[in-house]
Amino acid sequence: MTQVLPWAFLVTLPGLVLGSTGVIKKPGVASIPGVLTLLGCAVAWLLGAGQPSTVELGGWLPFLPDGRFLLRVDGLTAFMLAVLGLISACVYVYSLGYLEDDPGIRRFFAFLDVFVGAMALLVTAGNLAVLLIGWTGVGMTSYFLISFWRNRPGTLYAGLQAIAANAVGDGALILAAVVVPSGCGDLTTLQNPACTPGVGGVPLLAALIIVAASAKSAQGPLYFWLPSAMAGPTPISALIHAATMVAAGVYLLARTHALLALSPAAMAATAALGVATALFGGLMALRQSNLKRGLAYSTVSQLGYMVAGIGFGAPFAAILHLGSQALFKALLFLAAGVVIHALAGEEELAGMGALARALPAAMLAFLIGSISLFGLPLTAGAFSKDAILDGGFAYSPPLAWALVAGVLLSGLYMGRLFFATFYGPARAAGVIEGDPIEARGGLVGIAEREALIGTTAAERRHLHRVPPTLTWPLLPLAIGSLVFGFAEFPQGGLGHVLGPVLGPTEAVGLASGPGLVAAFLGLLGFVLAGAYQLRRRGAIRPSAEGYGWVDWASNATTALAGSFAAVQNGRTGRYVLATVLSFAVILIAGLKA
Amino acid sequence: MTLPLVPLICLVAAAVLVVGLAEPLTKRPRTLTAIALAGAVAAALLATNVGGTEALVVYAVAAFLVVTLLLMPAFELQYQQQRPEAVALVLLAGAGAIVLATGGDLLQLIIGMETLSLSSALLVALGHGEAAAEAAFKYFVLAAVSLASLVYGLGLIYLATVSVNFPSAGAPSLLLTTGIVLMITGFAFELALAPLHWGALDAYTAAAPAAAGAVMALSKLGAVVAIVRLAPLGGNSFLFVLAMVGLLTVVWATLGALAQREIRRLLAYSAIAHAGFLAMAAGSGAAGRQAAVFYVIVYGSTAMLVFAALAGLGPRPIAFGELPARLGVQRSLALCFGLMSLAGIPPLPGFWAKLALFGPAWQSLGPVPTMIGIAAAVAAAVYYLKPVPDLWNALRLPSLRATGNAGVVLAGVTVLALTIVPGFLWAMIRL
Repeated sequence: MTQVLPWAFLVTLPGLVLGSTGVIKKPGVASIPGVLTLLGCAVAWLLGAGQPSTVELGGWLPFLPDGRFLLRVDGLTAFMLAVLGLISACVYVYSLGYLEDDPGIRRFFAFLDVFVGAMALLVTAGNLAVLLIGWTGVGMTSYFLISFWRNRPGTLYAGLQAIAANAVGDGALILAAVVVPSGCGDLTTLQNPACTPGVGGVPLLAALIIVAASAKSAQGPLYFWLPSAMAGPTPISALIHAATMVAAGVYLLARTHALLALSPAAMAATAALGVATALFGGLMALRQSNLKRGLAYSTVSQLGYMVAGIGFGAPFAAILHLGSQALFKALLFLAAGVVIHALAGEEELAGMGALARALPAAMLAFLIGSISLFGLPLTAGAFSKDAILDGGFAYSPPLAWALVAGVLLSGLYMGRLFFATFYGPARAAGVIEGDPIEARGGLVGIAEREALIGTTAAERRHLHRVPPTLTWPLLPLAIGSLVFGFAEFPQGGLGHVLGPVLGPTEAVGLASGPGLVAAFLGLLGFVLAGAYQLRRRGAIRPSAEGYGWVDWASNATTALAGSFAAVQNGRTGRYVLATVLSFAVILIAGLKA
Repeated sequence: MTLPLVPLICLVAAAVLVVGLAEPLTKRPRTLTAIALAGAVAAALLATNVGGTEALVVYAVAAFLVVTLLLMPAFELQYQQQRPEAVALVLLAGAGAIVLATGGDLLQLIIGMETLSLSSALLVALGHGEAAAEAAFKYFVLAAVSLASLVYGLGLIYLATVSVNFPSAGAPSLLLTTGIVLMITGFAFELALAPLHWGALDAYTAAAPAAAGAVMALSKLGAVVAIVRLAPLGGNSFLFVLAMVGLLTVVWATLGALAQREIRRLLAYSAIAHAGFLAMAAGSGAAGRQAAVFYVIVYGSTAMLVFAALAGLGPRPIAFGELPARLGVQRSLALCFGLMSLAGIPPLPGFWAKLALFGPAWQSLGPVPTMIGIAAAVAAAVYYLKPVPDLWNALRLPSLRATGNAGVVLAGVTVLALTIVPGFLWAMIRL
């Protein structure tokens, strides 16, 4: 069974064909056996049944330095496939309930199938050429799924933001694929001296990979698209924009860590980028009035921890955190989706509150996700964050202390989101029977709420029924968020599998000194935010969202584009004049040169 | 290279036959299409004896012609009885493109280019509405200006070498270089490089979609092969200038396209941007020239797919949101994949073509031009992909019965083949 793992990208193809041609009446169901097979094979591989293997078809793209069709499965790939299999299985089941009434459900599952295939191709890619296909493929499906509800305002723009940010990373990878010397492109041998590009050398290649990774993983100035991506359906936010695709940048950095290690400047830049993004994401998460956007900024922040881990020279810790983040963040998003589903699409915190009694499963799941995120000892997040902090203290104590301080932010924003959603005054009209005016919350008036939600008061009077397909997938993720850390405990579980790929693995202990400080800070933040939410009776101001440099760049490009298009004014005389002048200029330039 | 005479005779004979029998054929559209298709297919079959790049050019032209001829029933003509003329013009444009690409001497090249651009202008003019006639007129006037440049360049080359043959490489005089530069600038007009793209941009926009694909694909194919053959004789520094003009074109057209809200205008700008990439490739050394020919065949196939999907949509401007309802399921999907290939989304062939181009560009143009080119290429995704979410929505629509679906299928199969085995085409290109 494990020999077929390189072909994992075909696993959803039967579901795609059967589902989109309508052979199977309920779309999505046909793909679930596929992703479960993927999960089973990958886990079997990890448990020791598998050997590293490659699939190679030579001469596929003869115009590239390395144009082979090369697939490779090793420990890192199997781990990523296991994460993909688990989260996508949960999300498939969940989406069956979440989109059961949506007329576009067939299209939705077709995109989801393509995404799972592209993501599997991304992690099984052996060289840059194949990586590019998966890399762009996941970006493409992400765009289609962000714009899935095309008739809702803003979804197309949000999708185009993702395209624009992804384009930066795609361009960097394209350049990397063409500048390496002939014969190079295998992701595991980029660090060989023979593979150093003639112009730019190792720093160029490392910089290209860092740029590509930061576009995919929403790092540094390229963070902006991820919060906007929340315009897509919530199961997509869980799978693509929290657990798998956005972690692809971290995966690429870990995959090529030997190349980055050749350039100290690249390592320092990566570490600084990660720490800055971790803190920035945490601060931004504190300001969000929208539940999903709050979680999105939290993803930005957690990805910052992973990128920092790579920069610290601790790729194993980063991948460990990738695994636990995938579990708890998917859990948080799916729990948030239960809330949003119950409130008929309401995503603003101002429309939530006091939902703990009505939605106990979602509350419990959200709580487990939160404590794992800020790293309560013995949860998954605690082990992996601890490992990153260990790497940080070995690399640069000031940066590591900054990350410890960041855990306080994690606790604060998770506490705020948790208590504003499930406790405090009932701002959701559905929770309280009686006069809807009673239900108005915070500064948001009932008229604004009407526009915000787009449903009638009568519809909101009662919570939507939550089908069991929405709650059951929370269970495996919640268990994973609690116990995943023990995969590396006692020493050498995961480390044994990932060590050959990622180099010597860090010791993962029950708790180190700084780890305990971090856990304490996280808990403190969580409790403080809770107390603050409950005492202030939960006033949530709607946060206006601007993107600084992105808005500026977008406006400037639009203006420039308009003026270029305006030159084409249809006047023949001008055209002839311009043509003749151009002939003269080209002639002069051609002769002068 | 020598002219592949037998295939050319097939095309021209079919065109003459169609024009000669115009009166009876007007009432028998099936026979009309059959005669023309027979000419194109015979040309391709007989080209197997020719071999080399000539054969490849004939295959590509024949493929573009067959798709276009299958779309002819959907051609929105101003006057319905002009259908035989339209078919003949398509065949003649194909013959012109072959001559322009494979001509044995410079005079043949000029004759090929004139046949091509005159047929193209007339094809545009046959389209519905005044805009088509106006755009065709502009295209014609500007083509005349570029013909002046071509003939003047040929005159200078004749002065320098006392021959209309391709000059031999090495130690070019000022006279000879001036002649070569002037001729290439003339071909650059046919390729629609900025800032010589004015007429082409309007003509591509106004042309009926059933013919626009052929006009773009054939003119680019002929012009690129001609430039690739002639440009190295102008010296390395001129190649760099050519690539820079290409880069300017890429940036110009990408910015222009970003502002567009109408699908045909968008595709017209896209054709200009691709012309820029072609010139970049043609100016990037021997490997770049191979990439240029690869690129132009891939581009032509993709353009055929896109315009096959749009064929029959009529002269009115079409906003993105209206597309799915007017196209139906199959054509929406075809347009989706066509746009994604033009945008350079892997694993579609448009992406392979760009990958093939940037390596040689990095080698011979240097980092900065290559990076600008890559930036423009990936930024283009923003405008190409704007209509795509709407098009996916078409999956829920009923399928439409439209004429010319065979053309869509054929173009789709070509693009699919280029997706899976791009190396096959690459290996056929030997310059």
